[in-house]
Amino acid sequence: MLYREALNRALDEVMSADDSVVTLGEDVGLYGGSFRVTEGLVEKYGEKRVIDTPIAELSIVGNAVGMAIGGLRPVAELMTGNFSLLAFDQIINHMAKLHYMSNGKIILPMVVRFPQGVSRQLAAQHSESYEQMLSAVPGLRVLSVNDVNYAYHALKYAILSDDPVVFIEHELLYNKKGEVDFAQKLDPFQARIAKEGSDITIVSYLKMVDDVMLAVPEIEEALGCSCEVIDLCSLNPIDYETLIESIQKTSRLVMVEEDHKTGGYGAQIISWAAEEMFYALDAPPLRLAGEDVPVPYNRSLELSSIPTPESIAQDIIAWGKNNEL
Amino acid sequence: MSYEIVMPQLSDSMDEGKLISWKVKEGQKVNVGDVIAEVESDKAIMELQSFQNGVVAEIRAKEGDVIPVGEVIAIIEANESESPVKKSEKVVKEPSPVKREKAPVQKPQPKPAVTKETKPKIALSKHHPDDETGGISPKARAKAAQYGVDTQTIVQKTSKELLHVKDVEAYLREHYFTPKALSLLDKYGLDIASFALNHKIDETEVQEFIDKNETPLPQPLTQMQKAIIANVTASAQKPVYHLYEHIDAQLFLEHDAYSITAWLIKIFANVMMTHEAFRSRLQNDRLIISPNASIAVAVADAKNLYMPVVKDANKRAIADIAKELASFKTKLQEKSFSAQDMQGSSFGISNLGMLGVEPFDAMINKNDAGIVAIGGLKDGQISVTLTADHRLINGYEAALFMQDLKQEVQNPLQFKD
Repeated sequence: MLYREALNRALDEVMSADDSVVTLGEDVGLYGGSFRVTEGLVEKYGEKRVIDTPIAELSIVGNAVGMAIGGLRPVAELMTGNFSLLAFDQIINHMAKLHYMSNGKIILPMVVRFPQGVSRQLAAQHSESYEQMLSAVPGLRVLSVNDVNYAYHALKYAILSDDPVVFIEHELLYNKKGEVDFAQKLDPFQARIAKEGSDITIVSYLKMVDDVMLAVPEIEEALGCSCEVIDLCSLNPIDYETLIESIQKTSRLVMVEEDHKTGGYGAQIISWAAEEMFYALDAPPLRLAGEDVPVPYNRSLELSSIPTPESIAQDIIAWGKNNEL
Repeated sequence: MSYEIVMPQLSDSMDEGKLISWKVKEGQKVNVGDVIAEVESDKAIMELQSFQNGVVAEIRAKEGDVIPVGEVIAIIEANESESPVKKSEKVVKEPSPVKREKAPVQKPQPKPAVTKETKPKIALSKHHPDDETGGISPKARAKAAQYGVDTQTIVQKTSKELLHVKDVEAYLREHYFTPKALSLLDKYGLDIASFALNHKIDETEVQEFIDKNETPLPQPLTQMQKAIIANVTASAQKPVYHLYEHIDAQLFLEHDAYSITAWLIKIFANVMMTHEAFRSRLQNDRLIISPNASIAVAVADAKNLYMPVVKDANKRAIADIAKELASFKTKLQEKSFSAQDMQGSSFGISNLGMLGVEPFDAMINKNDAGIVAIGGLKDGQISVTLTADHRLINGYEAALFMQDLKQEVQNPLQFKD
């Protein structure tokens, strides 16, 4: 099953079980979604529950907020994260805060699906990542799953949860293949150990987890060590328990993210480790992230502006050698 | 002139496309703009149009195939004079013949060397020590503090720029233990944290610690122990059930020239010949049914356990079987069993009767269908417990087998020399 098919299946199952679940966004109906996530849903559930909206992001999220207040469980799709900037007032001031501002009287059981990231030559205005902003908003849950099985379970969980959830998807993950264990019960707020190891803890999320996994064999061979790879899954809240356990075992921490380095999400993980895990660290933490430049259109420049399996391997090996690993 | 039609890249993230249907056949004439196929990208199903006037010379992809972007799916033999574009061109999705010089497939290319220079180097050097506070990892510092060791002493001693926890541990080991004490420490897998580190510790002190705490000496597993562990662990995963029975011992006692085990092997072999399931074993997802009855016998002393096989026991005389059992005992003492000795069984016998054990269960050996556990003689009866693999022997079959067995041990014809 593909990642997008897992999301589609999750939506389909929840919509079939619960009439209050609706989905809305640009091209989610007739066209089946720009990434085919909502394919076949309008035929099944009709235009009242699978709603094609105008190109107006503020109104997509605003409508979803209104629907949620009114008792529905809306799943809003934004075509790409960059367009979401127009909707940030609704996301931050309303979706995230109304529950708090109403002293808990209003609940917002809604999801905003959020495709983002560096795809292929979509240039600076279509390649951004916004987890650093979203995870800094109290009141929002931010999920960012890499794994196909998790995609299915986490989206279902997000829709059925009474909390407002931003569900971040990476545009290059939609065609990732994987098995889904439909019967499994899993907690999407718990980090996933993508690979166990004993000497380096490599933390990542979304597509970068796959790039790290591609780099790991080379790192392990060059340094003669074993890497533990952790897929955060949830960016807010953060599963610190899993991180503590891993860092206590390995004494070494590497954070890998695609987004620009300055002010990026990984800074949270590293600063937490410096505060809370200082005496467990046997080497300075390493943070690999994108360059502080608008993402270039040119393919070579685009690739050199973000971590790739090759650069991840090269940088971790250099760091490991400098730290006598 | 022929033109290749390739799987087009219909979206930026498309790596491969599925060919949904062909709208043309080989030999068919096509014009610019004609729909020739339907292709499914990661986003949608799209029509593929011809960019040439000509004849479909060859169709290479089948409907339903998933094809990487850029791979040839058909060939069009173009009519030179009618062709609107002179140079070879790929088919594109636009209806108008707009030339689109898109690089065919864009696999992620290895990073160009130039990026290494533009990328800021990992600034490791600035963390390195040039004064007394730098260059010691937090974990190493914590470890040194725990033992009251001055990290500068270690820095000077090792003349290293950067201290990690392993350096502190190495220093503590070397500083507080004699080499002989260390080798004893490692032999017993002891942690240096078990000792008060304020003086040089020699092997006598370590030995005293070992004696006082009665520290067990860890023994590495022999290859055979590893094999036994693997075998019994695999055996515990099998879907087994047990049948508890007693057989009459009278004839065994009357024919005591040979051991009960020897007679049982012979009688079991004979009964197995009429029960195919007991001659079967699972091997690589196949059922192997042997034409003869070969029985594995548990042979053990306090430390070692082997399951050598009496092959084709149904064809052999009792004297021959007894002789083989005797040879197993010799091989046990000499540890001279070969891999060959352990192969070919479909059933097993484990006899602890001579030790007076009453009913017990045995674990099935390797791929066998079952095993019987023979207990001690009591009131003229011998306990026989069958452990059967339900994948190979069902309960009814097992009950019939036990019935036959009970009958045959009272049949004097079975006890002929």
